[in-house]
Amino acid sequence: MKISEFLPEEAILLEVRAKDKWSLFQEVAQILARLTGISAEKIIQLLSEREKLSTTAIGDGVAIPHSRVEGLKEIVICVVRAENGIDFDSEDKKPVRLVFVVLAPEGESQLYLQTLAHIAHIVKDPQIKKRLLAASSAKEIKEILEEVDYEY
Amino acid sequence: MSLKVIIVGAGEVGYHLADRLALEGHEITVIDTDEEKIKRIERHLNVMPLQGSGASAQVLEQAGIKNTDLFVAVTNSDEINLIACLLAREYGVPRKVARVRSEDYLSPTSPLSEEKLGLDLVINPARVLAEEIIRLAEISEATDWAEFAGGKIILLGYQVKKGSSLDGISLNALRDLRSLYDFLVVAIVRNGNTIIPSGRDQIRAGDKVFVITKKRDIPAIEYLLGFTSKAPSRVFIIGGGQVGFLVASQMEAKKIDVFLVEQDKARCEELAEKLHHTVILHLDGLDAQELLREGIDRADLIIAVTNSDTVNILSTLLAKHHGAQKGIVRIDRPDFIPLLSPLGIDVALSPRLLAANQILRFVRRGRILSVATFLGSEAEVLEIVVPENPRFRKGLRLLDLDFPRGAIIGAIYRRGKIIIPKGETILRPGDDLIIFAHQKALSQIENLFAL
Repeated sequence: MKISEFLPEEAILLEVRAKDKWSLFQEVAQILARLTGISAEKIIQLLSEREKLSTTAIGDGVAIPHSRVEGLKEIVICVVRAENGIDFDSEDKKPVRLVFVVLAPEGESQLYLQTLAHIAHIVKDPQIKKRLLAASSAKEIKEILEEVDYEY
Repeated sequence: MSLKVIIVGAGEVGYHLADRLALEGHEITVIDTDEEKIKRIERHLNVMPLQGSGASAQVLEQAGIKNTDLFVAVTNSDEINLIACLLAREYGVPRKVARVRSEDYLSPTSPLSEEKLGLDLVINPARVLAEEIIRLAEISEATDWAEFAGGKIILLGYQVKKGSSLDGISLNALRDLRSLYDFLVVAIVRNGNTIIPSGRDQIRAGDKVFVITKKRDIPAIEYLLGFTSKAPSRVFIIGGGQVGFLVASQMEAKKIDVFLVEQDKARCEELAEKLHHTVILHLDGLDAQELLREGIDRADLIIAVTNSDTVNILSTLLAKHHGAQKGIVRIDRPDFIPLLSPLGIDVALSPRLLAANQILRFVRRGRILSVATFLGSEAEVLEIVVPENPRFRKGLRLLDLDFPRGAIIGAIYRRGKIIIPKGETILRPGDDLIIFAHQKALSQIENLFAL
């Protein structure tokens, strides 16, 4: 599977200045709302609810906030970079510089888990992570993710 | 350490307990007055059977009570159990367990309290069952639940349904998810066989998967798997006996709409007096027309706890057929349990097995609760301490250890801290490992951790 299929270029944000995850959610919700037709308030609420259960930061400056969303048609991913780092309450205390937001339809089952697993797998590769952080355009980020294809 | 154990009562609890404890290498004597039961024990178990009354000092002396470490009285009679335990106290047995049914002996105001009777553990099967039902009703989808390490680590069993999140997922994908969700699949029961999974294995619909996780992570995991961890809001209980009453009173206290179905008119009146918000229905649990009129089709949980296995199974199947969401069923004959999941019964609980398991937990007192009872006979749960030798002293990563196929480390207990291990986790001497293993892998594991 390729996660790039679910990643519209408009949903790649090269430089976000949010200071913490809550204000980041505000920002990405606007873009995701435009792309999906789901209300921004709903998206903020769902991502925040999940975040309150436990942080979605996975360490080493990466976070993967995610939720199922009622009424959504297909999985959508949004990639965010934040050079200054975002406070995500990460267990390793490191600020987050790379974020993958994943929304999935309510009924999406195994593909949702695979998408999350796939992203977690990709960002563990220091080479790919470095390239994603160095990329100079949304197009380039999408191209890097198109290269990585992983079958479970 | 091998214990000398006397078990009075060779019914289901006594039998199951004797079986498990004998497997663990303890020296067991089972006492019962019933010749048939004694014969059954003699035929199937490696224990010492003794026909006689557990309330007789003479019989107890014959059983060797003077050097007994643990005394368990689980006959059907509260009074025999209590007298037997009093005798055991006189003989100086250090640990005594009695099965007591009557609420008269259990209420805190009773003149005969646990303490006065010198009992270390009192087992009331109805209460144990009611507690288990309440717990399983709250975790939406789990069908099995066991805790160890003082409750910090939980083992959950989930039935994988077609098209659900876990259907078709590989263990490799779940391993990658570990950076977001700290859980580990330690066993898969498929067609009655237990598989200890490795990376390439795939979970399929119809499997029962056993997942180990920290207690605090359960809500996040259930969220990921798409389980609505909402407590039920509309519950039908079939059977207004002791269990039905206990469950109804706890559920109504949680503002759940409870409908309690009981056939006996006098008992209905008694229940109506004791319960405040529960709707008491004087009906037969198999009377589909009447139950539908009361809205059993819209129930999100059916709890069938009459004294009849057949009524419990059929009433639950009927309710689920009409649209009820989930069913928990009380079963007295443990042999029936494997048949029920394919029929669509979500959870089957045997009060006797639960009681026996509670006693086992007490006996072991350790961190591990043997979960082998869920897993079937091919799999075992072991506790192994990493030895103090040069190999481990320098710190060895799990993935560099030649860990055998068919075995998995579910949790590491290190100075009071729990770790659910990953490949890169480093093992250290003194770590206490909880290992799930297929029997074929046992000798390899022993070699691996030999001094």
